[in-house]
Amino acid sequence: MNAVSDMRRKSLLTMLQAAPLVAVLLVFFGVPMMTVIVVSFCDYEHARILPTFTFDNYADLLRSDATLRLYLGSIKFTLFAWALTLAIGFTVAYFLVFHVEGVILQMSLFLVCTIPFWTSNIIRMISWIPFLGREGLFNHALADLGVIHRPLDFLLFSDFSVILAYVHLYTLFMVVPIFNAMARIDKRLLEAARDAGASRWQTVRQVVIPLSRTGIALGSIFVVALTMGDFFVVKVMSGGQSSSIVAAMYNEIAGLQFPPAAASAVVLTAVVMAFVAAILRVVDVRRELIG
Amino acid sequence: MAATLRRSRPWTFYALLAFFCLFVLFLYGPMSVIYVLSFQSRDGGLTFPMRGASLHWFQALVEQRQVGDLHAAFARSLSLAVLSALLTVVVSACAGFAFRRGFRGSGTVFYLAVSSLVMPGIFVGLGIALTFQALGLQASWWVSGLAAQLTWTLPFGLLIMFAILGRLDKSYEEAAADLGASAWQRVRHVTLPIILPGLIGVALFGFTLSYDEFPRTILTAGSGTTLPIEIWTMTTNVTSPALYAVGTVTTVVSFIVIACALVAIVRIQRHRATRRDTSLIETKDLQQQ
Amino acid sequence: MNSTNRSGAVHVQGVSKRYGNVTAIHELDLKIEDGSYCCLLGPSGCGKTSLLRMIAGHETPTTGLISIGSVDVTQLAPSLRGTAMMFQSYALFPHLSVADNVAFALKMRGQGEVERRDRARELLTKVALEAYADRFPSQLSGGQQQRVALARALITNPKVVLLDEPLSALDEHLRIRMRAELRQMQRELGITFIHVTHSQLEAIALADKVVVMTQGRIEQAASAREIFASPRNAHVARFIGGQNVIAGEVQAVHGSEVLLRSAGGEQLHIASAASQPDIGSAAQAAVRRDRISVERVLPSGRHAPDNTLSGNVDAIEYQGSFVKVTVNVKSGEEFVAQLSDEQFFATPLRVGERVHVCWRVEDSLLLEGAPAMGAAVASSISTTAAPLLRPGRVAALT
Repeated sequence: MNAVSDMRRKSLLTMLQAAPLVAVLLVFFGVPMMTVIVVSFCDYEHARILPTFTFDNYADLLRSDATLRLYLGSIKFTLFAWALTLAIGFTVAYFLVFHVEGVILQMSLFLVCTIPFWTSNIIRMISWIPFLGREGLFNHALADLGVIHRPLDFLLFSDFSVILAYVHLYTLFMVVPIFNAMARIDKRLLEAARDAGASRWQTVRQVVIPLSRTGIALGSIFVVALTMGDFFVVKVMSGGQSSSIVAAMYNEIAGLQFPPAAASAVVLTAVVMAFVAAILRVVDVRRELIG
Repeated sequence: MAATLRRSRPWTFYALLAFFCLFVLFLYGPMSVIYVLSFQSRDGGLTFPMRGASLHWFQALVEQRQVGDLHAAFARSLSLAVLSALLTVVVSACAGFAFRRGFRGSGTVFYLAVSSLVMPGIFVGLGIALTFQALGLQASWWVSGLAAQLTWTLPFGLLIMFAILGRLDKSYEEAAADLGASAWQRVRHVTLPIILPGLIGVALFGFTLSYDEFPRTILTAGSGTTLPIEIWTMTTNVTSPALYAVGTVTTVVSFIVIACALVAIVRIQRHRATRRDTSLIETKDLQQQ
Repeated sequence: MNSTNRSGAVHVQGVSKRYGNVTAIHELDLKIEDGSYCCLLGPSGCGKTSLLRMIAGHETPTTGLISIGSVDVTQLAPSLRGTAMMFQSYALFPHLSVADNVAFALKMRGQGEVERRDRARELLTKVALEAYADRFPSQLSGGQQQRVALARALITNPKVVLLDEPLSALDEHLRIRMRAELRQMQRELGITFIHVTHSQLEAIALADKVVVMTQGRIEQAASAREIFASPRNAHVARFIGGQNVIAGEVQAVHGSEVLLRSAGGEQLHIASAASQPDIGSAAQAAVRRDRISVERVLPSGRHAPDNTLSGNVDAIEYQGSFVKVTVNVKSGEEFVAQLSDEQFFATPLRVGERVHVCWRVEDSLLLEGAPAMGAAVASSISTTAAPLLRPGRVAALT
């Protein structure tokens, strides 16, 4: 048996194993993305795409006030959602990893947190409506307790409800990676920090946060991508008051105006990628994941 | 002074415990409202108060005319989910092993997968729809819809495989080779059985991610809608608690699938009787001899 | 494969292993006799495990030839060599029962279930684990797992058994007991055992032949007694322990004795096997630690010892049946005298006392090779301590 041809056979086999994944990703992700980019440079007439090269779509997009407003709005939501999901996700993960004793209990509680994630996002989102509305459960409860005399308006169909929904839906995407990263921390490091005189807060800042930064980075990437690219949460939870970038794009698609929609998609993708690249610059995720 | 085993818990434990409980309440609370409201009586409205309880709205689901294409959508969602689960396991497992051995361009493939994951679903959907249109093909739920969903489930599957294979000790496969197992025998008798719980996890992800997927599917499903798309349409034009009933039913289906997967995993682990503390056994062994 | 040739003699010729431009193992030659117990001994990173794995077939040498019996196995798959390997982590399949683990190799060959079970039971009885046949590996202790791993390896009737640090995971008492069991097993079976370890005591207790390796090279391959009493060079002397190493300059050569001038100017008479070093060259000598007497008064006259060095006592360490006395003789290296507890406690020394250490010519030996530049602290035990708090490293811990 020839060692060299054996090695060549092995590397061929390895490539074959990776081939299905590569094929699906290239054909159904790579190519479509190329198509979007190409279409974004095309001109259009009513519902037809004309194969002429033009920068018009981008020019219109970037010059429009609406675009700026939409982006600022989305970025505002994203920042709030990110900050809140990070704070909550980190705290929950910290509790599960460092304060819960026994792996079985830890895993069970972790599952308890993740199971809602496995049910439809839309359902979970709209479940807030009967809860937060003027006639909703929350207002009724507060009124019964005598805390308020008039139902709280801001709870629903406002910025508050949008951010609330984001936090409700996406905190899990923070909890899971941070949980994973924290679970790998050697608990004796915390003991060593305590021995050296660090307070609990200092230990968290100096030991836990740096060592779980991969999880934080991954979670942040997920949350930012999801909130910037969202369209149904904003639409429903703001009651139509706010729109999102993607919602505007969706309208264009519905109107069969593909090139502007494509341009919008490309610009948004660029912005999201910029965020992601910034995060990746701080933490090299790939090395930590694959090792 | 070295920290000794703390039997009494610090105040932070209780604070964090309270926070955790609030979080769980936050997660499950709103949904429970839906479950309760789906039992709303016939004259009840979309919000509280409950005017009695009934199964009226569940019955409405069964009757075709009131809820449109719901049954067909449900069937399509299930089929897509099962297909996704199977394809995700097979493709990500193979790819995971390839990454483990290492191949040229693995870095690029990794970033391609991550991009596919991070890209807002609606764009992928747009891209696939445009591509199909350009090629003159008709978008259909089981081709373009499935493909769109795979761009979402496969990267997740791949990441999970990284975690699983990272923990897989190479010596098992080497020992098998040493004992005369061919490559196929190694996979069949050693590698697959050992990572089986993990693979079930991947399948579960593939199923649920596909079952609940919305943005990618909406543009690529063509005329055959899936359940999430139907629910979306219902949110905009349904004025009865039938929507909540749908929510309850679809959640129950998810729960059943998750429960089955978890039971399977637990049973496998229990069969292999993983014990955490072997120090007791060590001393007993010494005493016996 | 010639089935009548049951020889488990291993012959390694010109074998090297390179990874890119890093050479892990330089051209090695080694002969291991059939039916002998051979230990590959050395510090971490010396290449002993690599060599073992190349003999097993789990790694391929960059150059060279490996033969077992008189068959060239260099390109053969692990299962075709007549070898069986016992892994450091035992690698018992967690999803199979103990009996199924042991019978695995037979299952791969397609043997029937009844035959397999019977044969597995046979071997389990041999390692005294018959009662555990239907348990799972996670339910066994470390020592028991090791015996299952051994049984699993033996079921294929190998000619050579390769053991990768089999005793490292066990605690002290268990290690000593399992050591004896391994030796006994090897004697009973009469096949070749090649055992990798970093423990000198383990190696000299078990092996017919000890192969001392450092940094990808074989320093010395000989019987345990020879390695201990007549180390070939300073590396071996330091690693095996039991010897002091002194550097000096060759002043004269008288037959089988060499006159060495130490760093402190003392004249030392060192036995040299047959070598004829050049006058004026730098050389090193080994002095047996347990053949040194420690005197408070410098002995003189007719009973004057062949060799004397003077210095202050730096440290005293009680080791039960003997006491380690470290004396600062200004040789740049640790100089230890091992006194029996009776000897020591007759007239106990104190730290800081000025003493004279003495030994006979026959208890010292000229070593091959010149001292390294700046012969000060010699650490043949390489420490690769990764900084604990480097985040990436810690995060990678599973």
